[in-house]
Amino acid sequence: MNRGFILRKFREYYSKNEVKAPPQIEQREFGIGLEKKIDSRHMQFQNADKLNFYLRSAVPLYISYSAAFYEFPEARPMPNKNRTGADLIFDLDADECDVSCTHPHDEVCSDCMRQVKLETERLVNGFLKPDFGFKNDDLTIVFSGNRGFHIHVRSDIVHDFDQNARKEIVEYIGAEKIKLVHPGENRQLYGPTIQSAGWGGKIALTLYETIRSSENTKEFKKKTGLLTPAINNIFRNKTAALEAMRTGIWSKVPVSANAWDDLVKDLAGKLRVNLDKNVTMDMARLLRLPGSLHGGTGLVACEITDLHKFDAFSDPIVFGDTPCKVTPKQNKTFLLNKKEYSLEKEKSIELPEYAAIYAICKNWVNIHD
Amino acid sequence: MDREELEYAISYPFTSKAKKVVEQTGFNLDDPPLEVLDRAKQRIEENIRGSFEPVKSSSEKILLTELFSYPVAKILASLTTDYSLIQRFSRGEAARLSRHLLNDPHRLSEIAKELGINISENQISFADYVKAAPEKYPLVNAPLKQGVIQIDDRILPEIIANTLRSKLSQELSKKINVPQVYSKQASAFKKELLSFTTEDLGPLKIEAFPPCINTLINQAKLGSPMPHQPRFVLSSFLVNTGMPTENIVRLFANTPNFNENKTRYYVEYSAGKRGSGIKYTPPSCKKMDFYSLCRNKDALCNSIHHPLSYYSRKKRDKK
Ligand code: SF4
Ligand SMILES: [Zn+2]
Repeated sequence: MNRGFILRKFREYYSKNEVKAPPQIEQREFGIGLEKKIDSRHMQFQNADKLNFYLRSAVPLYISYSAAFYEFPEARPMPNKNRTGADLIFDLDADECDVSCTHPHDEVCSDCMRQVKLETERLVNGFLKPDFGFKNDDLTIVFSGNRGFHIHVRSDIVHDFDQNARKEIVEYIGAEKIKLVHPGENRQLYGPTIQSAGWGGKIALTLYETIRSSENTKEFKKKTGLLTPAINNIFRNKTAALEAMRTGIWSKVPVSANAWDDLVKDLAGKLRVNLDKNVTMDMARLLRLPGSLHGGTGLVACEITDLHKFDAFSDPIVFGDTPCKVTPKQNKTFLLNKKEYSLEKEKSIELPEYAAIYAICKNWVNIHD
Repeated sequence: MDREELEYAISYPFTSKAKKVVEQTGFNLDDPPLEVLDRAKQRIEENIRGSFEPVKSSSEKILLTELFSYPVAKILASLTTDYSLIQRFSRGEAARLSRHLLNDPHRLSEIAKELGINISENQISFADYVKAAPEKYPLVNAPLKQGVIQIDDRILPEIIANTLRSKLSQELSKKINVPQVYSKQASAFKKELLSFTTEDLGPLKIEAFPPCINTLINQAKLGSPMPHQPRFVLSSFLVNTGMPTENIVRLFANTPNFNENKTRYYVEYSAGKRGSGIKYTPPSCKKMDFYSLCRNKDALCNSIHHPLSYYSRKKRDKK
C-alpha cells in the first residue's frame, strides 16, 4: 500500500515536472534504485526527453548519474566505458560534521543541517572561491534530498584530473600533511606571514588575530579550543609573536619547530572543512540527479542558488497539502515546512500529503487506503 | 648538423625541437642500428639503477646515437608492459631532465611549456600543479590564491621533471603500435630488460606475506565482503608472488556474490594477461594506510615502504 501510494505520487511528480538533463547527458552513466539506492547501473540516456520519459514510466525511487564522462557509458566492466573526464565533486554530509545531537545516527535534525550548511558555505567561501579561484558559474550546489550537499565543479580545468590530483585537492581542504614552518639560515625558523596565500595565510592570520585579541592563554584557549605547549611561550612573548606573524620569522618566539608544527596542525584542524574524501576521489561514483526525488524522504534533490537562505526542511518540498490519513508505526516528532509533527504509535492521524510522504519514505507510518 | 642544436636535443629529447632534429637526420625508428639499440638498452638500465653520466663526446656519431637512444628506449620500455620497469624508466628520464634544468635555469618556462604546463613569472595554475608536483610538495603547503601558485625557484625544476615522469609513465603504459623489428623480438627484449630490475621474487613462500595481506586473506576465507580496493590489493600482490591464477581465484570463493569467471578475469587483468597488458603491483604502504588497509603492522614494516618489499625481505631473511 505504502509503496503503491509513493509510486503514484512520484509518477505524478515526474509527469508534471521536467527534470533538467545534466551537461553532456549522453556521456554520463546513470543508476537507478527501485528498492535500494542503486540496484542497477550502467544506463545511458541520450537526451532530456529520453530521461524524462524513463522517469515517468519506470518511476524509480532513486536516480543518480556519474560525475564522470564516458565514451561508452553502458559498457561494462568499468574500464570498457573509457572515461574521458569527470566533474570534481565535494560531498558534505551530516555524518561528517561533528554535531552533538542526541537523535539516532541515521537521522537529521535542523541542528545537523545547519552545521552541514555552514560547512558547505565555508568550503565555498573559504576555499573554492578564494584559494582555487572558482567562480559562481563553475559551482553547482545540490541538496542531496536527505542530509547533505554535493558541490559539482564543472570547470573545464578539472575534467582531466586523475585520482591523485583529486586527492591533493581534498587533502588541501582537509589540511592533511600541513607543514608550514621550516628551518632556514642562521638557525632561524621561517613560516608564513599574515599576507601569505593559501593555508599559510589562514594560519598566520588566525594566530595573529587571536593572539592580539586575547589577554592570556586562557582566553586564547576559549577562542580556539587549543592549549598546546607553544601557547604559554607565545603569551610570555606576545609582542614578538605578533612580530613573527607579520614577518614570517617565527623563531622570534622561543618555540621549537616541533611545537610550532603541532600548533599549526591543531589550528588547521579547527579551520579545515570536513568532507567525505572518497566521494571526491572515486571517479566512478554516481550522485543523486538534481531535480529527482529522494526515495528516503520524498524531497527533491535540487540545485541551490542561495545557500544561505536555503531551508532543507521546506524548500525541497514538492508535494501538496491534501490531508492523508496515516497510522504511525512508532512515536516520532519531526520538523517539516516549519511545522512540528508528532506521531503517536498506532494512533491514526491526518497529515498534509508532503508530510505523509516524508513519513512513509522514512518508514514511520502506514498509509490508509 | 648544428652542434648546439644537437646538444639541446640530447638534453631535452622530448621537445618538439628535438623531434625535428631527429627527423632531419633521416633516422628510421623502424630499423635502428645495433649501436642505437644497445645504447637504448643501456639507457634503460641506467634509468632503473638511477645512475647516469651525461655524454661528453665530440664524435657526431656518438652524439647521434645518444639522441636516437631516447625514442628507441621508450619503445623498448613500453614493450615490456612491466609496470614497475616503466615507472623506474620514467623516473630516470625525469632525473636526467632535472639535472639539465639545473644548468639551464633560463630554459625553465620553455621546457615547462613543452610539457604542457604554463609557467610565467614563477606562477603556475593549481590545475597544472596537482598534475605536476612531486609527492613531497603537497598542494596543502603551496601558497594557493585565486587558483594560482607562486613557486619557489628551487623547486621549479623538480616540478617540471616530475611532469615528464608522469607523462612518460602514462604514455608507456598504453598499448602502442610497435614497429615489427621490435615486436618480433619482444620476448627476448623483455627478458633482458627485466633482468635489470633487481630481484626476482623466486618461488612462492606464503610464510613471508606481510600482515596486511594475511589480514585480507583471512577476511576472504571468512567470506567477508571484498570491495574493489582490497580485492585489487590482494590479487595484484599474489600475482606478483607468482601464485597461480587458479589458487588466487579459489581464495575469493567464499566472498559474497562470488562469480568465478568474473574473478578469473579480474585476476588475469591484474596479471596483465587481459586488458591493457600491464602487470599491476599493489599500492605502497603509504597508500595502503590511506585506504585503511595497512593492518597489524609488525617490526619489519617499519623498515620497508611496500608490501612486496616486505615479502622479498622476509623471504631473504628466512633463507
Ligand atoms: S606497513 Fe606495509 S607491509 Fe606492513 S602491514 Fe602496513 S601495508 Fe602491509
Ligand atoms: Zn541532529
